[in-house]
Amino acid sequence: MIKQEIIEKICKYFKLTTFEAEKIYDDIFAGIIQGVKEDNIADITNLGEFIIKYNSSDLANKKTVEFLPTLSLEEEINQRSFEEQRQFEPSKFTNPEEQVIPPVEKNILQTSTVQTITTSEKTTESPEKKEINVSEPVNYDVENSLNETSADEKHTVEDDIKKKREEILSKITTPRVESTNTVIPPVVIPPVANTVEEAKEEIIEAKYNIKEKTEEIFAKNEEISQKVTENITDINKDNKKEVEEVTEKSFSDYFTEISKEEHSFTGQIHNSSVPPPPPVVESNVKPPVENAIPPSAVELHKEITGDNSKTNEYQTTINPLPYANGNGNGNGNNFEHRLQDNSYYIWYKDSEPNTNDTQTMSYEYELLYQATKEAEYKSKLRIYVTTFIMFFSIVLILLIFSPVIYKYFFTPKEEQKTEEVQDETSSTQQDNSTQNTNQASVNSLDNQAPSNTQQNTSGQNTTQEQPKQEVTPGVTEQPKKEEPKNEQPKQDQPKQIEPKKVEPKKEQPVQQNNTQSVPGVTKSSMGWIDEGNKVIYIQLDNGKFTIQESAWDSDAKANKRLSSVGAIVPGLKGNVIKVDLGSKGTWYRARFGEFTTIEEAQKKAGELRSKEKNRLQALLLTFLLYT
Amino acid sequence: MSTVSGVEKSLVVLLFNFYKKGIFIGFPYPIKFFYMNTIDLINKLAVNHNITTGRAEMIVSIMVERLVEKLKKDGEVMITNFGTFSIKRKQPNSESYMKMNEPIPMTRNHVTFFPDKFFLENINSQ
Repeated sequence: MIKQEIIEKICKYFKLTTFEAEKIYDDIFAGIIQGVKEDNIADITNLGEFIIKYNSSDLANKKTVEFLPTLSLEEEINQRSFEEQRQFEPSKFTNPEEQVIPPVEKNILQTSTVQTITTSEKTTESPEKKEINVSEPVNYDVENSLNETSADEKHTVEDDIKKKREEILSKITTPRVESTNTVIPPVVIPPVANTVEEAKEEIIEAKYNIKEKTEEIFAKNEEISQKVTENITDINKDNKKEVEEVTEKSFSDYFTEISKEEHSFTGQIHNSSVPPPPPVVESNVKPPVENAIPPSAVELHKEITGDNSKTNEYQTTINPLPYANGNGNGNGNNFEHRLQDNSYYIWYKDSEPNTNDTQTMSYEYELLYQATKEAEYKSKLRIYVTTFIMFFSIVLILLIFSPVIYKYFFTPKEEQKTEEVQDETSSTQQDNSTQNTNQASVNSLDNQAPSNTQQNTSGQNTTQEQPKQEVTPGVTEQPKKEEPKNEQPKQDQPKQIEPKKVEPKKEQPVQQNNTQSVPGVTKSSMGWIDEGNKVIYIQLDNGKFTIQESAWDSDAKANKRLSSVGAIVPGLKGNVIKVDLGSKGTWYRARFGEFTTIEEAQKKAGELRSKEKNRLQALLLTFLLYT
Repeated sequence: MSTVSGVEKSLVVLLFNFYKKGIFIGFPYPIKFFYMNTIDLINKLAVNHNITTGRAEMIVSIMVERLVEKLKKDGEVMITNFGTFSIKRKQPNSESYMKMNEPIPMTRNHVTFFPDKFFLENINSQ
């Protein structure tokens, strides 16, 4: 029932088909169920919350739904009028007679008037009991009574149906009668003449009478007109202006005169002796009031409305309002909302209610309401979303680029670095520790050997390590020329040194010519490590140098890096080399370009790194500007 | 490039999870937390039936109004495949109030909801 009602209402208001409305109705409840299933709670305004509750006892239905009504609903239900209704409403499945009779009286009735019971139900249920209860025996048999009752039932049903049919038919056939509240005036039928002659005589008499009466009336009218002229002359003497106004008669003035004449005519008929009262000249037009509305206000009104007809006077005549539609369905002219002042009021929800307004919402009204609401909603949402995006993006950027920012703004100075490194080297030399097994430390030890001749241990270490690592004599000789300040051998570089190299064996014959002393570059078994640019320069079989920029877990990543570097530095071509490092797994090294000297390679690497830096900074700036 | 620290990573993951859940979307209006709201229902209706959100809102409001009216009138409303709303008159425990020496409140009506079989099956199904 409720479904039908709601569907009808939806169809009526939103101009939808019943099928669509039914679908929407079903979809609402399906949506609630889905919401409860997904989020455990579904909150619906003005109704309540559906919350999932867990039952350990029922294995089949562990989850049950609990409903918490809203305060508004509870208040509505606990209204006093509603309670009273519920209390005094007779229940559906009980007879109203039983409720009316109090219990004490009921018992008395049962004892005294058991004989009078003739209801069919009771006879069928307990005919024997009846006989027992009855003090005087009943005359008719039980079977007969049963038959009679059944016959009566049949009759009653058929009769009822017939009666209903007749009623319906009578309703259809008979014309509609007006409601009883309206009092119909008694119709007076004129007496009909029996014969035609009598009727003719009557007509002739009436004609003569009318002629006489008309003559009399004309005579009296002339008298009245004479009197009127006399009056007018008097008034002329008093005030000429008023007379002019009267002569320019309006429609209403004519109307008043005629009414007075009629009145006088009726008076003459009843009492001819009484002279008619003199006609009183009155005008509905009031004298003009000067400067009733300030002229500034009038000008403002003109500016707003564009009407020049408005004067600074009160309206003398009030135009009757045309039929106003509450729905606002005007035929182009929006005269419905025109007030007496010839001004318009804005037609909106909170405007003045019209008398013809109905309770039902019109389609246009609804559309207007929707449009305003949507606009409000959109504007609000736009503001909130923008603010949210701003703050959220700033936070995200700070979080993501926090390591980068830390690097750029809080990097320790290079001098400190070098000092620390030097200290470390001295400590290691003194302790003669065997921890310095890194390949990078080999050069430094070789260099320091001649300077610190007192320490023989270092020399021993080199001798021990030389056969193992197979360092070429050319490499060991050259770093002797370099200054020890430029060297930074012992800085930990686990990432770059992880993959061990076997190549230097092959590079032996060619290295002698190309190797040079370059600042910021150290020699190792891998190649020449550039810490400034974080790159390794490796010598190829043909004697040229390449830049080993990075090493990656997969081939795809390495290729991606190649492409990205190609985009940053155009003209720098590279290749990927696969290396198996046993327990450390396979690595893919990205190498770029071929250079005759290390300096050239260093320049290119520096260019690459600087461009990368610039690009990052630009990205950061763009994000900040966007936010 | 240096790697992102563990704390930062966890923070980003947490934020992303919140984003997925929809906590920050359109904050503070319309506020949406973990549970379903009328706004969600309205949006769903609007998307599924190609109607404006205003219309959907009106439909939902009409439905709720009608439901409450019917409940007030009959004392019980049954909706197929959803459940039954009914009003129960609950008398307060007078003895406890007598013991506490406090005025006994009036009897109040309470709305109860019994979910339909379809509803329960839908919830309990995985």
